[in-house]
Amino acid sequence: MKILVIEDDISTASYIRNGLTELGHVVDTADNGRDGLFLAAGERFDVMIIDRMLPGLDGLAIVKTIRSAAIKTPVLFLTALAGIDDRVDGLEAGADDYLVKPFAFAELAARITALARRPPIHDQPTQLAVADLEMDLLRRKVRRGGVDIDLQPREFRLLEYLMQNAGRMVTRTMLLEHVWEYHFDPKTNIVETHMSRLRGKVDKDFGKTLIETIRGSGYMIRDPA
Amino acid sequence: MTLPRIVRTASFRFAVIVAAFILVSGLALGLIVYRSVSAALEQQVADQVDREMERLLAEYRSNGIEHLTLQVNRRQNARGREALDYSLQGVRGVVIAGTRLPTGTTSGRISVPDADGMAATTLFVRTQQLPFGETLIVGTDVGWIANVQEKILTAFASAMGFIIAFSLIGGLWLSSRFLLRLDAMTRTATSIIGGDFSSRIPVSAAGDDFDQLGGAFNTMLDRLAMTMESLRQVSNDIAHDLRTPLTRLRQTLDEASRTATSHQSVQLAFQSAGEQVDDILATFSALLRIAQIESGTRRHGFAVLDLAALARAVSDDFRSVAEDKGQVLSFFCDHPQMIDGDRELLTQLIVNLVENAIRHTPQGSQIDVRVAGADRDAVLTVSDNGPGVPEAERSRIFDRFYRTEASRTTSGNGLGLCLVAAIADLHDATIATEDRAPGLAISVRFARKT
Repeated sequence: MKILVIEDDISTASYIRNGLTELGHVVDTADNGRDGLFLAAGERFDVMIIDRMLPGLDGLAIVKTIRSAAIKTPVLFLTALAGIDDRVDGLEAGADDYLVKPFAFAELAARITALARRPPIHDQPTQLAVADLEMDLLRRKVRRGGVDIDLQPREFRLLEYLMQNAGRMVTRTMLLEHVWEYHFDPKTNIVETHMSRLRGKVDKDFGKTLIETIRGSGYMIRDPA
Repeated sequence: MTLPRIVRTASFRFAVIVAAFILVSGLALGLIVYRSVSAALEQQVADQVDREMERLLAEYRSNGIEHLTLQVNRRQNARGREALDYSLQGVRGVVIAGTRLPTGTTSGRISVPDADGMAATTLFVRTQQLPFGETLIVGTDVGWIANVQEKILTAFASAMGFIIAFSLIGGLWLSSRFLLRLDAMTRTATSIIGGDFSSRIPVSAAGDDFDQLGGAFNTMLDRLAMTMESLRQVSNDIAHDLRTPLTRLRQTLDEASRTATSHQSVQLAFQSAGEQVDDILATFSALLRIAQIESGTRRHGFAVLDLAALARAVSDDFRSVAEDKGQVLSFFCDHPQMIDGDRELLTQLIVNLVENAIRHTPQGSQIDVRVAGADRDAVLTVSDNGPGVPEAERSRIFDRFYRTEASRTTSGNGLGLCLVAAIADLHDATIATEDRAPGLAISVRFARKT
């Protein structure tokens, strides 16, 4: 992927660039808002990572400008502000996701992957499938190998999110934000508990294990074959 | 307090302006009185003279010049003070009867020099030419009218003098009173600037405008002092409570640099240090979040929502977490309870209360989440039958970083319930704790939206 990073802190910028380059991405960087906007408007990128606070032109203004120029490239906002309103401001300006600094690199990588492959709203599928596991989003039904699986509403949302991102890792924070809509960190292992129940229903009696734990980082559903 | 300062005050200027208005209206009144009194007196004199003239002419017409001469002499001689003067003069100005009065004016005021030729007497006269050349003059001294006029003017002048003097004195008195009270406020402000934050504006029992202003200022100062105190408390808490984990981190790194020899042990030390840094950062963001909630800016995003539905969703989510710990979590609610609030923050409030109960009660405990209406309120109660919290500690569990003796060993930063308190406060909700013997119940009471 070709990724634009607009970040004024040199050490953070090189941390992101090195990590992404290691994963095989092509990375362009800008250390101020003006250069960043120039690059964002002039070249095609798959994903842009934009810091909220920048010299010259701030991140919110850049996102607003490129969105008004009909550039639909997914944008991940970075911020040092853990404020509640900042996330809303960022998303309202047209950013697609939001990450508070400091972050683990795995978290950033997982979010970029999820952003880059996010299908446009209007052609999201109504059927999801991973190996012999099928999900019907309209009838809210889950089957594996022709056997109906009965899921609690939250377990259904959890599986849906995993299957939408099949083959890609999702982190615990991503699950909290998208499945529970919790924008804070619970002190109990609510994600692990639900994941273990979901596995009990989806994986346990079916031989092949579809949901993998990626230690210390997150989860991924995929066909192991 | 010097005189020029008083003169510069708004109250003194006000007194001067009022005095000027009184002065102008007083002058107008004086002018009107002066002119109408003068006109009335002149008219009265003219009438008197005219009547006398008519009477004498009637005498002349019926009884002839001799009789008129007789009458004029009799009247002139019989006249008392402030009565009329009479003069009947011949063709060449010879006085036939009465006294000498100047001729030449048919009607009006004339000035007659006195015997010594110095002071003049002012007379009002009527002159009538008789058919055979004689002249009949009737006049009267009108000097007294001038006296009356002078008295009126003098009276008004002294009244004006008093008014001006009283206005100025009153203005000075009011100004100095105002200044004294303002000075008290200035002294308070100065001493606060000087560092004495306990200084307050003196307020009298009268309850006047100054007292109200002073009272409002004092309330504001109290509020500021409270904010400063809590800020000081927060910085102390942060300094103290971040010192501990930072010291621990330092020790971890120290120990690793001294003893870690293998790649694996360095990796382990890194991992441990990373986790400790994450904990410190989590504490920081919790503090920031609390500060942001306490600032009250979130209030503009409030919407009407069902507290019961929120609590049910959280209970459903955490039931399995409780089950995994061997606890039972139950939810009770009879009706929807609509309140005005922030969905995200209220969810966090309920989650924190439920997690608090799950984390601080042993296996086999029963945790109840209950939403019920009470009068005009909606009450959320999270209760357990665990070890509870001793009476003495119960009021402090909502303090920043406070951890009960029993909970010191479990993980956590001591900010969960503090966040609950901040969110409740933002919603104008009240928190109460109760001993369930055994167990603890925490209830949050919101104003219900109907």
